Amino acid sequence: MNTKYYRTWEEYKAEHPEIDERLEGVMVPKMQSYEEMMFGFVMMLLM
Amino acid sequence: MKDMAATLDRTALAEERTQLFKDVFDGKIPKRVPISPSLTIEFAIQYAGKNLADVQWNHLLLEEVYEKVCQDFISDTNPAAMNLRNPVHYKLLGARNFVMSSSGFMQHPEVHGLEAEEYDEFIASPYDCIMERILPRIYTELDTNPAQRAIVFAKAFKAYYDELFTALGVIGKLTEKYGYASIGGIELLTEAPFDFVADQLRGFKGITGDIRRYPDKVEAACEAALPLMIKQGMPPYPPTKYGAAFIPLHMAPYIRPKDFERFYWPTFKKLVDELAAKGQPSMLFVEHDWMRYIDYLYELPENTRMWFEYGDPKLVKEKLGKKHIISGFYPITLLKTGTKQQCIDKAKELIDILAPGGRYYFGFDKGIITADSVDLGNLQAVLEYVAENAHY
Repeated sequence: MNTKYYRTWEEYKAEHPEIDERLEGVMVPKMQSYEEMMFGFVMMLLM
Repeated sequence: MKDMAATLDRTALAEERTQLFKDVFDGKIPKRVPISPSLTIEFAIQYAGKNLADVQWNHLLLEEVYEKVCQDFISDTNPAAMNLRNPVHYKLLGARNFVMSSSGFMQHPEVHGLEAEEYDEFIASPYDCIMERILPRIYTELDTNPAQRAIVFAKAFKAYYDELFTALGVIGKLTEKYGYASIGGIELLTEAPFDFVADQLRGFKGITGDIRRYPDKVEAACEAALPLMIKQGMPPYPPTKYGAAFIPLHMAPYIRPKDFERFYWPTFKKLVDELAAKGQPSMLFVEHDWMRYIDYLYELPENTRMWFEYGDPKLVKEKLGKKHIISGFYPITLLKTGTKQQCIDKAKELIDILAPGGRYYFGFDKGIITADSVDLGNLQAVLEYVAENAHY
């Protein structure tokens, strides 16, 4: 998506080089799930 | 021991009901026509004798309300319908699009969040435009400074998911308790891109003028909305052929065929095609009368589910019945005006037309919104008739 209000994990990670690769596996599902929940919420506001 | 037997019975019942839908969705003949009535939350609240506003604001009352419907109305899917219009987050946001009336019904006034001169902005980045332009117009509490907006948004986000997960928990508990099918209901909601642009972005009045005044922009806006609609139609887990994105179809019957062909159909078809390609079936609520577009519906991916409101069931069966999955058509008005026998005869008539060859499950032509809009005895009699007589 061409937007500044939704980021994939790869986009987020590029902005956060401090992320510990060892933790990435457990971070991704948590962090991305909130991104997806926010997207779903925003869309439901217009449906 | 008795408890264990009851658990096994419920498990067996759930498996049997789930199998009915699996067979229908697989294009096989099921043991019996499965039943999926659309009893809304408003119906359930009124039927339980509760106040509409009280229950919608207090989900602690939900289980009692839903349970009464589960006890009294036969269904293969959980008849406890999810409340899509929970008032809590709408109130926190100062919503203009969904407002609770004095009777407790959530009303949907005609609103628009996008001005005609903003089409280019929407086309360039629909999600940015939604966040920056459209939401603050429709949700008055967001029309404020960034810090206040962030606080309002955080509260509404939390309220929305708190209410959603509470309701899902209650529904899940009752699904287990009453042995309902684990599939066959509504999983996700998305929209045809034209409907998305029409419904709350430009409004009914705005879009009908736009297709004459700015046809190229409307076309481009539908294309721009398409990726959002595809994303919204996908679950956050691997899709299965038994799940579905629910797509209620709104505007097509209200526009001219040549406008349908240019503005509505192309991105709607791409949406359903793309979801199917990703493994996610679509369940369409074919609102109003789509008979003039029936050949278009045939072109959608095999096993697309279509819940019809009005139209000719014979024509639908003949044209779509070997490729797609059909439901609906039963007029809920008859449940109010007809005798018990007339209501049962209508169910029999529809089953005789739609059930042969499978690919059909029983449903009404629309959700039953209020308990007094039907004769409850007629409703129960029809559901009972289908459960006991619609065997293959």
